[in-house]
Amino acid sequence: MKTIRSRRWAFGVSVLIQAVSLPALAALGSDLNSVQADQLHMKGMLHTTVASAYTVHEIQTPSGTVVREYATPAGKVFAVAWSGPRMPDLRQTLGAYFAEYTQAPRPLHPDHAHFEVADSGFVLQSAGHMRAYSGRAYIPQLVPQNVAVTDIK
Amino acid sequence: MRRLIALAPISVLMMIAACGGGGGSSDLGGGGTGGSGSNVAPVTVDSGPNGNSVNTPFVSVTVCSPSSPTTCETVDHIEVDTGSFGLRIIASVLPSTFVLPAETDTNNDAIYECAVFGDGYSWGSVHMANVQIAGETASNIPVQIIGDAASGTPPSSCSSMGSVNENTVGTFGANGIIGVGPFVGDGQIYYSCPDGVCGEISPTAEVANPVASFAADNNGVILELPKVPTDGSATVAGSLVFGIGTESNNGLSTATIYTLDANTGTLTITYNSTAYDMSFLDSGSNAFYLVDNSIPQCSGFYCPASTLALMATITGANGTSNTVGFNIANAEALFSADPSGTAFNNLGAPNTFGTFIDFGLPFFYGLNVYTAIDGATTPGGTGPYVAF
Repeated sequence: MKTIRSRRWAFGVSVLIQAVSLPALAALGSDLNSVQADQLHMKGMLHTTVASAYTVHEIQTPSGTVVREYATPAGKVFAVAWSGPRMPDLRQTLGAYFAEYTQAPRPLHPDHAHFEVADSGFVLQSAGHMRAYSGRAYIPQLVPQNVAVTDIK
Repeated sequence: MRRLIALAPISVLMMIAACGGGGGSSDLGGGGTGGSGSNVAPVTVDSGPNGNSVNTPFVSVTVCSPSSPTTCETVDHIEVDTGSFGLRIIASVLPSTFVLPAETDTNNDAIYECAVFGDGYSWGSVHMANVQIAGETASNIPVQIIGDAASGTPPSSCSSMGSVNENTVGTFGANGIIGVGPFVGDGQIYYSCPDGVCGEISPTAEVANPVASFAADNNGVILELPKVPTDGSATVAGSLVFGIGTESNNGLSTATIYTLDANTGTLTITYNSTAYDMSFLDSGSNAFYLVDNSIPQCSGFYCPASTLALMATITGANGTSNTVGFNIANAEALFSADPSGTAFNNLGAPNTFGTFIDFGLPFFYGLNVYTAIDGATTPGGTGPYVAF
């Protein structure tokens, strides 16, 4: 048990050591090297973590909300996730997919704490309440084969 | 209208199902209907103004103009939400002749609010009102009037925070919402729009939980709902009781207190051996929202082949922990067997995001669920906490 824990701990350290600050960011579905628009738009602090299957670009916004953008090794943003006291700028974060988000059908029995888009080419899951929002969006076709969707959070 | 049956508040004793005992029934005790009193507002669960609400509790609220206190309007089907803070009313349900004074900023410009929910945002003006519910009054507090003509089109920074502007009864699902959760201020985004250009501001007073502004009974609320049958109920009559331990009808009795995170109002719910520390109880959620991909889904809800008896452990920030049992039935079967049903204690749904558990209104049936406001003094200690 101890061995397993320490191995996990060591893996975590190795990932962190590779953390570098890269200014490159982009909206869902677009290329990583195109803009640093998201970070600038959100006036956020950027922290990039490199893992084997993808890189995570984490923006800490002034409100305390954290936005994570997941990019493939080829530099394509395949997923975004957010959590914190203020909903992030989803027009910026979702890019071309924002229109699909706003035009998605409403649920038959809605409530104010949940909303989901589950199209073949675009998935968005939003949940939470005042002071604590969270959600994620991803493009199923772009998610690398060795990445579990549950890792996007 | 159903006459409220006067019952002495029934103490709620959590039945802790032993592991492996095949528990999991939703027999968590009994919720009263609160009886009557100046601190008791009748609550109804029904299909709502759009006819498609399930597990949504409503109350009537009266708003009066602080500058003309006898000029009042009473609005029914205001959703009771322990997951938000403050009173919001859809402008179209108020007569156009009924005008509340605007809240203004230091430049005397009107203040507008972007209220963000998990499923959308609501844009509207902030006005001052005397808010009356049961025999309680919150005098001269900011409330949001959603979708009023004066507010116009939301600025891009507001509409970027949600899918749609829920600015009508049709899109909002209620005539309004009263946030009576464990905090006072709503933490939302406010604007003034001089010369038609909207910019963010920090208002002197946010739209806030009206309970905190009551002269008495201002430390929290109790949502008391009776049990409902396993095949659902067309309507449910319960009570929203104001104050905790301030009157003869709102004592804590044997309720167990689970304190909440002081920033987020969350607690920990452990399900399938995973502890989710951003979890919460929310009267504004219409199902048990779980993280469990093993249960078949349909229509956004869970639809298991047969009813599942499940267990979860609720743990407060104070370390208090208890295991509760609950059932998840097939949602489509429930809806088709009882098309007029609006109250189901066994409705479950996937929280697909998967980082927290949300026990919505099904959890509240048959219980008295206390919500104590952040910083408020109660006989059980200082808020924020929930107790049941």
